[in-house]
Amino acid sequence: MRLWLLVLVLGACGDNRPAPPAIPDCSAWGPPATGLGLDAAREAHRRSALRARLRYRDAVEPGYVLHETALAADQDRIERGEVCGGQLYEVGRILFEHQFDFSEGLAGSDEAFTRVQNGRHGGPETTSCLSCHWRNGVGGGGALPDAAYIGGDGDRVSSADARNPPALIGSGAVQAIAQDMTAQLAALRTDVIARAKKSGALEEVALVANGTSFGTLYADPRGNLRTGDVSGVDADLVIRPFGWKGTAATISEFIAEAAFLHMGLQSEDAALVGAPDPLELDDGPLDELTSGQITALAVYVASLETPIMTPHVAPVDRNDPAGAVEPYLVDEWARGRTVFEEIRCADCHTPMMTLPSPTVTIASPATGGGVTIDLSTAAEAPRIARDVDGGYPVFVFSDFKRHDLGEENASQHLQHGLAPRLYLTRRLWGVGDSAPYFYDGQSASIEHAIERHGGEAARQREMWRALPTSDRSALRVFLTSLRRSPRLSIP
Amino acid sequence: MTRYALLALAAACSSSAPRADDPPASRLFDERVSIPADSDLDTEIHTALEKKRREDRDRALDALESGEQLEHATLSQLALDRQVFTLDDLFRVGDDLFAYMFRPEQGLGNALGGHPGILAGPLPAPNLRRVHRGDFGGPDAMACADCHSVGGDDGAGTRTQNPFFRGDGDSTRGTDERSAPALLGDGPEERLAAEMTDELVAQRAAASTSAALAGTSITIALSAKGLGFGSLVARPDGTFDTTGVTGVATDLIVRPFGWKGHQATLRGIVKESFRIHMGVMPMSDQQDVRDGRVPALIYGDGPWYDVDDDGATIEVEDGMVSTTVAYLAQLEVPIVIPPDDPVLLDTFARGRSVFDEVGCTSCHTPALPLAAPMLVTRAEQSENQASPPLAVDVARDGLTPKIEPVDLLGSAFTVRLFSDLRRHDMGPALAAPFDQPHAAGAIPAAQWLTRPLWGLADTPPYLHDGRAPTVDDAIRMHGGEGAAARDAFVALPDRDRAALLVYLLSLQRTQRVVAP
Repeated sequence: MRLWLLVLVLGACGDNRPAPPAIPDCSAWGPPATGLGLDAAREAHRRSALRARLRYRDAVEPGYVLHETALAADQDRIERGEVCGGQLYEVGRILFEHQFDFSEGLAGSDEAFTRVQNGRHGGPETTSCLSCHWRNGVGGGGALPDAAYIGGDGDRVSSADARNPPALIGSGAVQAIAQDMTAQLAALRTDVIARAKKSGALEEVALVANGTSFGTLYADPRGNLRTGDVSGVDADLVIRPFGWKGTAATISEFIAEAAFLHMGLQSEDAALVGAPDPLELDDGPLDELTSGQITALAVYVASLETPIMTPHVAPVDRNDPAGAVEPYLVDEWARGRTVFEEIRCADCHTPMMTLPSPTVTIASPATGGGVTIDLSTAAEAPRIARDVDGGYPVFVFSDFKRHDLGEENASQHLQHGLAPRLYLTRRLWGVGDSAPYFYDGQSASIEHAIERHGGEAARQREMWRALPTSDRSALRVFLTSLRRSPRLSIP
Repeated sequence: MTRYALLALAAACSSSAPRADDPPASRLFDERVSIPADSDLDTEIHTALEKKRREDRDRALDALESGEQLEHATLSQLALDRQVFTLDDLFRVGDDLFAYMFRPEQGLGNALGGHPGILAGPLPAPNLRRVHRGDFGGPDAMACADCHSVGGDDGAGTRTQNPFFRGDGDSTRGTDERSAPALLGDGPEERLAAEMTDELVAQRAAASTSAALAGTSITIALSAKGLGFGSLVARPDGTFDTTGVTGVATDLIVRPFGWKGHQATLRGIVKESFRIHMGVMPMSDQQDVRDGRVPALIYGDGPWYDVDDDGATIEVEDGMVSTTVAYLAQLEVPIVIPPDDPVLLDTFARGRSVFDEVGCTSCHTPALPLAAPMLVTRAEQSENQASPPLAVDVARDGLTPKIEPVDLLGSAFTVRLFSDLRRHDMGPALAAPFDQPHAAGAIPAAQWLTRPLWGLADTPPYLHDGRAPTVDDAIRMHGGEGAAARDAFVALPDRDRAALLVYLLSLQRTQRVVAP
């Protein structure tokens, strides 16, 4: 850490680069062009040419990209509001695609990859974020071969739990919804404690947030909580929406942990979210990723597009990414939306949640400070938008709760202490573009995924099986319509 | 504590920063890059949307009626035989098939779990597994595109997508791990290898004739396209001593595909990949079982027409293989795209010379001449013996850029692949855990085919198992016959080493927009 800063400062003396102005001009850093038009094509080419340029820079000056991104995303300056949100997005995007090298902290001192993770030490398995989040564009999910094998013995696939890399689009809204729900639950908890203290008796409260029930919480007159009847959320009542089992509350936590587990990149933030002590690993310093770099990555991921829900379409017109509607599919689609309710998929895959505010705050696990993004204006399009009723509806198709998926889906290992059969309701938005399905990516089609629902969802599976063929088709048409908005890119 | 040190030093260099402890401005935002003209972008967008529209429509129809999508990505040999489809048609269908994610009901995987004596895994159908067992394979993927995505469609694989070949079906350690290679330029590579094979075989035939006439053994030096392949002794009785043969199997067939060069044709590698990676059985392989051309039980113990016992009988028939070959053969070739920044461009020029000076070119031959660019693939099933062959002109058909003609007549072409298509000993550190079994003789553990470098920049990570995250790492890991060039690289002044890397990073694929 000290050496790193020394280099920074000497660099500053050497090339006499001025510090950036305290109040930046952010007018040139609006949301990026997306869609299918000329602007989007120009932006795709700009990114591609910049990628080539930065590869050259790294060749001429090893470590260039990491060094310059660390300068651009200095956590102190971020927290003082001196870095544009659009700059952080760009820095995060560059880091997301960056191929890390051993000299930059990739892997451990042995420079070895481990495809099957070794307990909580992780892999590392790969060299970049993009490596596993690529399908249908940057920020998408991974293919079957990309599965991570977590909690294993470092060797045998059968010793580990396979996890398909999930698509990351929409993460900003997901964190915002989870934090809003956490706040609702916390208010209920405060209230029940107050009531118990006042009444001098055991008091109870039904834990409901955004319409999702999380069981019952009891408080005794001394303010002690009984959480035995709390379900689908940890006893601390914090909604953790990231990870197949719901193990991280914020994008920053998830990134810090993923960067450590999958690439061996250590950070103060990773240490704080429970990655093993670096001393165990005989590896370099704790700032292979700085807090500012993790913040930039999180800003980028939080700003990714929001998935869309649309009757089946083809992008006939470049000025209208939603494209022309196939008229005969509209009826099928509408029927499918109804079937989705009729066979009770919506019991867990709650179609819509409303955000009271369009902002999300990306706080550093290490410093606690952060930056706030307005998802309705600053993120990639399509963005969440204000409804006539005031809130910001998000068609996310999840209740943000953990459920028992049955013994057939039990994991081998306890992840973060969670029961083997528990999984967070998978958000279905974007599902049309995120095959293969299920936590292990073993389901090639939506039907196969439905067929694997057990436990609390076994009844829905039976109802699906009992559907007439035409209703199954309709449901498929509906689910396939939950997708990414088409956009131009250069992979 | 660090903050104090920083303060002291910052003060010492009398910076005019607004805050004394602030780091300097990042150079990241000073980069200016050039972007193609709008007219070019228009064309790109048009092509991208055409494909997107087709995919969306197929996907919608498939949602309505499961199976439509695969139907649209399939042309039967019967359909091909009518010869009404253009190569453009085959390209489109092959493109869709390449991206198609197979499902169990279409033959993905097998239902051989627990069958005694079969090297399939223990699971119920589709019985996928990440680590291969013996030569049976995984299957470990659902689509070709699952592992060929880096840098774009038909690109390379990521570190996580490595297949683990010839293992015990579970343990990743000690397996023969491979990085999925990029597929651009495979058409010209097949043609080059075929011409080299022809040259070597002709030399062998001539030597055999001479030896018979002379009544004594004759030793000849083998060479193809000016590259040496060791020596061969022809005996008067028509037999050969091949112990002096180098860089190629003793049958003198140059095989450009696979990291060790184990497949001579796209058809061969396509069929192999369908079978071992996706468990979709080529019908011609099943007929090999029927006719006893392969050992019994090697693919499974089902009836010959459903040898993997999963209820899907016609999984991959000749037409699908031919379509995939026609698609791959029509892909563009990677090219050299010099940096658009003047300082980097100057460095690039120096790098080109360093590439020669340190000896990279002794194996990574920058260019090879190709005389006949027509790639021909033939149906193999017994009922298709009369089917007309399918021909693709790898210098003309399909996506541009293409290999360049050496003259206006187009009498020959230059293939800038940066490989000699020979196998070389790369030393013990890079060696596979064991020799690779092969019908033409096991390929020694330490031998690897010179990897063509075209498109290098867009295909990290590097080397046969992706162990090298950067080009610099990859060069430093060269051993054996590459040790001298590696040492020369390491000994270079920093400036020249950087220049070489800049040059290598100019080996790119054409950048064009897609709508994935």
